[in-house]
Amino acid sequence: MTSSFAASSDILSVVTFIYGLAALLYWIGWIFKAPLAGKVATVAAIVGVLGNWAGFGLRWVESYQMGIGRIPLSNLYESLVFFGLVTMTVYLFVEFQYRFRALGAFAASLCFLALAYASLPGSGDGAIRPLLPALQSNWLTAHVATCFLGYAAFALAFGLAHLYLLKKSDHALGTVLGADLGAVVAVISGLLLGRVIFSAFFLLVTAFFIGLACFFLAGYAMTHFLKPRMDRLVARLADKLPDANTLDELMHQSILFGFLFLSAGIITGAVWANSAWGRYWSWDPKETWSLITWLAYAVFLHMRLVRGWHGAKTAYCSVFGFFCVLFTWFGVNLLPGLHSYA
Amino acid sequence: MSTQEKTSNIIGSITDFLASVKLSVFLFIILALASVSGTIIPQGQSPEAHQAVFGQAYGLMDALGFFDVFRAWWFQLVLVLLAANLIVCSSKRLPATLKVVRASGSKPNAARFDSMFSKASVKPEESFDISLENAGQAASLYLGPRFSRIRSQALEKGQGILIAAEKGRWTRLGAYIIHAGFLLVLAGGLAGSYWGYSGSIRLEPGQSTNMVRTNGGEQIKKLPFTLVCNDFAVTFWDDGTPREYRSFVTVLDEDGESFEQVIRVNHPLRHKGVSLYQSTYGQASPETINLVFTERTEPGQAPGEQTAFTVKMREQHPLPDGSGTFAVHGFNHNYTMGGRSAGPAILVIVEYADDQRPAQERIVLLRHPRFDAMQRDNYIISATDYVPRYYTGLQVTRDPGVGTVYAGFIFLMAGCLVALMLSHKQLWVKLDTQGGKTRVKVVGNTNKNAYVFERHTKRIANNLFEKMRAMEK
Repeated sequence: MTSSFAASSDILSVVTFIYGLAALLYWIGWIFKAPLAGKVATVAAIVGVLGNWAGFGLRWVESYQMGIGRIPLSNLYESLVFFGLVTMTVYLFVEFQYRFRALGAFAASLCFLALAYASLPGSGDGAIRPLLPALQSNWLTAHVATCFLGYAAFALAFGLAHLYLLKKSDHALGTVLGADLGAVVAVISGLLLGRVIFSAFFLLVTAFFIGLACFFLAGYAMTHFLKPRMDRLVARLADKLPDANTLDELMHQSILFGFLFLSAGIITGAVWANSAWGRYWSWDPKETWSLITWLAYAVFLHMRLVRGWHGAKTAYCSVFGFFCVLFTWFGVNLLPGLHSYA
Repeated sequence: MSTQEKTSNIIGSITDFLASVKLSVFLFIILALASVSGTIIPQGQSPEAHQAVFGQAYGLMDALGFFDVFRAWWFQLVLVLLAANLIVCSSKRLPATLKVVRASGSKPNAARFDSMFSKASVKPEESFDISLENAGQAASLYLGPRFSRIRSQALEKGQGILIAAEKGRWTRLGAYIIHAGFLLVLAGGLAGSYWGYSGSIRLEPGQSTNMVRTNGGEQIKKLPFTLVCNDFAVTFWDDGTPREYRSFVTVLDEDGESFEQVIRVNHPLRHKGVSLYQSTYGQASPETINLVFTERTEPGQAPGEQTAFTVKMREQHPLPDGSGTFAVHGFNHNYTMGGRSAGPAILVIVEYADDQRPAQERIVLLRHPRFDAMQRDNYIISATDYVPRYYTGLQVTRDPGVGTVYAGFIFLMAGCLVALMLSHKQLWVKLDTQGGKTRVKVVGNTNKNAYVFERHTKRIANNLFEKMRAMEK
């Protein structure tokens, strides 16, 4: 049995490296203005995404060979693989449609991180396990597929937020980078403190406030001390980007696309829950956090319609919304609930 | 100011408050924050467990419902306010939107066209060696099938022709469809919580019931039919995880009708407004158990004589030496001793013919055949095996709001598709005579997705110009 699922795991390990390579080349091509690196990055991204599709498909086939026969969309490992697949596919579509590569640096990095996390022992699980009865439903497939299409769109909007602020050389860039750093610090401190603080409540609250403090400090430092020194780098990075309005519009489109699929994901999840457990909504933490994410983006959509929010404000919302997505995806697993698998 | 004016002022300002998007956004944020607290604060545990985490703050937090956020009065109030906000806000704005949707279309206006054209970021313009009329006809012909509404008009003082084309005006109703969906979901949820219930029943094969204990155990509900459990089966994957549970049931209606059905996970039985879900299963007392009585012998002697029995629960059997009777009275598939699991166990009661000798209650462990030796009786009782039998645990739900909620889901999805993906598109073409040639200018506008529409405008203009270029020859 061990050998029968080795093939798809092997392919996906190779895909992880290809995505890492693509990310590196996208960054090099962007920062050092090396068009060749950019072209090779695109080729690597295409090879990577084809491999990702192949790995996904093969895993599906292998599950049939094992007599389990199910679409590989039912645990953290599989959700990470599917995220990489969807995000990279949608990204490449954007690259060919809008003809710029800077977003690839973000997309390929995120996909690399997702697949690398999937291959960590303990974090993901490469073994193909049979499905519990509750998970044997077509609604599950629809639920996971729509949710992750939404997540992929939100991930791209997150990358676009940074590009937009770079292009505008906006003050908010420092704030957003501070928020990125704050989020990373919150995650790391959460992981470290998890050995000392055993109450999930106090752990989350402590990690949140450490991240918040870091956000304020880093945001302040970036806007006041670093930004003036980095203006040349920012101008250099912004050079080849599409104009700010296009980026703003693309970011907005990504959020709309993501919102549509997140709504579909929540609804298909509710229908599935109703057919499996007789309740379409039970305020399970994962459900509740998907609603929180949905509300965050809904607030933004209303502010855009009524107050004409755009530009830097869209960028803020897209970064904040993506943090909600990440918490819904990973953070909630710390909390007790039904969605322990993904 | 008269009292009447004052009253209408107050009503007016309340309506304005309820209709404001500011209130919606505020309620969204409150709802989100309350939901965050409801996920990170442990919900619905024992007061002692809450006190251990929150200490002094426990009393206040409990009074404010922070340990049962989603059922707290203020949480429900936020939902009600949100519903009121949606109703007032939508009904206040709908007439204006309907007016725009129903209107016969804005009049082509040369001055407006010029100002839009000068501001547009994409401004296709080209001159052709064809007559103004031919060009106008060609433009109308080309735009006709691509838009739903076309108006062509000759401008004053022979300034040329202005053509206005548009489509998708109805898509401006998308937001209302979403709001209606949201309201339906809230209404369905409310109906379900008032007129619905959920409970669970536990049946062994052969048992039947028409009563349900609601979750929490405070009420007994009568089902509109009687449920008979004929059989239960569970299958496992190779690695031991359950693959499928099935309950084979017969439903007996009060009017004498009956039918059989299989209930599986994800495949509930729905009948007369009640849904029955396969939710759990467990081991029930087996029908028969195989027991062995071994005669006790001194260490070093040959093993004692063994007598085997196959017994039913509570069935009296004579002891092998005739000194009394025994019966199996209880079964526990996972007996715990001193906090540790000892596997399946049965309770055997032995009664002696000798009135002076009291009856004995003896625990017999299936995994430890020598356990009964502690009793120091003439026999060591051991249980060798049994045929496992399962009970089925069914979740019973009556939720008259589900249909409404699902209708709301359909509205929400349809509304999202319309409001987020479609747009009201408008395009104007102005034709005039300039230096003996016909000059054609195109400008477009949309309420959404300007970038995509710009390219759409460019493409339409290019195709149109190509058609006119072909006409030049």
